[in-house]
Amino acid sequence: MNAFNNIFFIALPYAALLMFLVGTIYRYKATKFKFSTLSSQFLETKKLYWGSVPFHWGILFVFFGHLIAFLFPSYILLWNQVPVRLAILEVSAFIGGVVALIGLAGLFYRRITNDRLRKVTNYMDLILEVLLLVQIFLGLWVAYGFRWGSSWFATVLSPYLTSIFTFNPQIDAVAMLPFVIQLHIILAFVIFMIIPFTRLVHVLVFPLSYLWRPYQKVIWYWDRKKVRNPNTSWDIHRPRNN
Amino acid sequence: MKKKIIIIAIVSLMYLPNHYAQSSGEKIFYDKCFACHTVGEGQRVGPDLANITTKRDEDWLIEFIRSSQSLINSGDSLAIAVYEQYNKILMPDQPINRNETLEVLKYIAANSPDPGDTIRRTPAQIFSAASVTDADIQRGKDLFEGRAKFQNRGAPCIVCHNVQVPGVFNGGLLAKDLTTAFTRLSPAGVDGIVRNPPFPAMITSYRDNPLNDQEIKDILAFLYYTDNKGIVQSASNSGEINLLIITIFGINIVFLIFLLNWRRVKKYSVNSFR
Repeated sequence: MNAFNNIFFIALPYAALLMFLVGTIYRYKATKFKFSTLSSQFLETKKLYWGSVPFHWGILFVFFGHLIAFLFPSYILLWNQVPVRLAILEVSAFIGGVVALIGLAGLFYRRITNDRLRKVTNYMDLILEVLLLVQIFLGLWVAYGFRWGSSWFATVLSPYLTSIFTFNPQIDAVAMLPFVIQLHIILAFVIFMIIPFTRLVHVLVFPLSYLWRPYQKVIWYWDRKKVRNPNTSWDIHRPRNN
Repeated sequence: MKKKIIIIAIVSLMYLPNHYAQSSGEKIFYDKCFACHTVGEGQRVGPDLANITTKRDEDWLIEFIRSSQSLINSGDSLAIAVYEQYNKILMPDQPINRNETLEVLKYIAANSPDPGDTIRRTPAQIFSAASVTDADIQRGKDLFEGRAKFQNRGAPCIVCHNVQVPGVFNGGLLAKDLTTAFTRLSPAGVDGIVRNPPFPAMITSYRDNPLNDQEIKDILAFLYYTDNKGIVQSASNSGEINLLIITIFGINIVFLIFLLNWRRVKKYSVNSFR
């Protein structure tokens, strides 16, 4: 049991960190133009909306929840001091998780059933989607089965994660947790580890600069008035994508 | 190169004593054993360890301390008897090595009183049901639920523990339900655990922010109350069902927002000539 704990709660996190760092740099240098989400929006749009949008809103909400609990555990405890606030936090996080799961299930279905998409799907995409599905499912299980996770994350897991990042791993508490929670932690490290080798790299190149870059003026090369003159009938195909 | 190695060796030696200074028997005893055991001060959650080294074989003790569960599972009759005698509460495995265990045993042997000369801390000093007031219980409840803060900013009990008493918010399910902790563990047992937690998750939470004496007394008063009032009427799970309904409602709201946004989303990938 000791070996299990040492491998998965000390060795794995560091292996994951190392692989993440080295892998990211390598991939960025080696295949810079594939360092993206490799969007499939051109191939299929409708199902993408109903998968991608719920998944992304849900997962972002839940992910930042985890991040905040890790970085500011005392504030989470302060917030959870009032039962109603605790309930609001837990319920909204759970909703985020369910929405993400529904979205991801939709995306997975879309990816394996659409012929055009199958052509651009590689093994890593499927592995990642399955891992994420399992991970979100486990997270919901933990939230429901071992409730008030937001609070005990702050008291039990934040110190563990801090100990990992300060190179002084303390795994006593994590070693005693129920297996479902341990599996959720282990899987998180595994997903973190394979980020550089999957489409997940897109989280690292999110175009944040769009928020403050200057406006771009789009100038049409053709005479738009002519096309849009309502008095004449359409002599070309009318665009139907709006 | 040689010089570098010598410097590194000296620097590492400087850190070594700190690391090993902690492994004296007394320190380990108070860190790991004291919550449930005393030496000559009576039984807590576990047995009084006075003169245990003369009563039991040393190797057996070491094995039991390392992992009582494995010993019980292996069918050791003595271990099973101890387990049965002490309310089937399993002693947590202790992550200490053989030498450290020997140090602890040495400490226990040195501090065991002569039989007939036992100085016991009376249970009344820890907790007396006669002196519990409603105000104590209320303070304990507030601390338990986190409505009042512990002086040293420790996490409230409700984070991991549940008590099934009407009027108390649903507690966490990570650790044991404490509704009947009082009868299960005895006041001295609860006091010992809160004062000097033996469980890793509790150690992590309270190592740097222990509870003070008054707070422990209040918590004891509250648990005494739950022990008497709890499960009298099976706690309803209506709170849980309400949360579930709100969750389902919330999921629908989120998808409704997505649906409203659907109107202004491009429906076709490229210009479609249908």
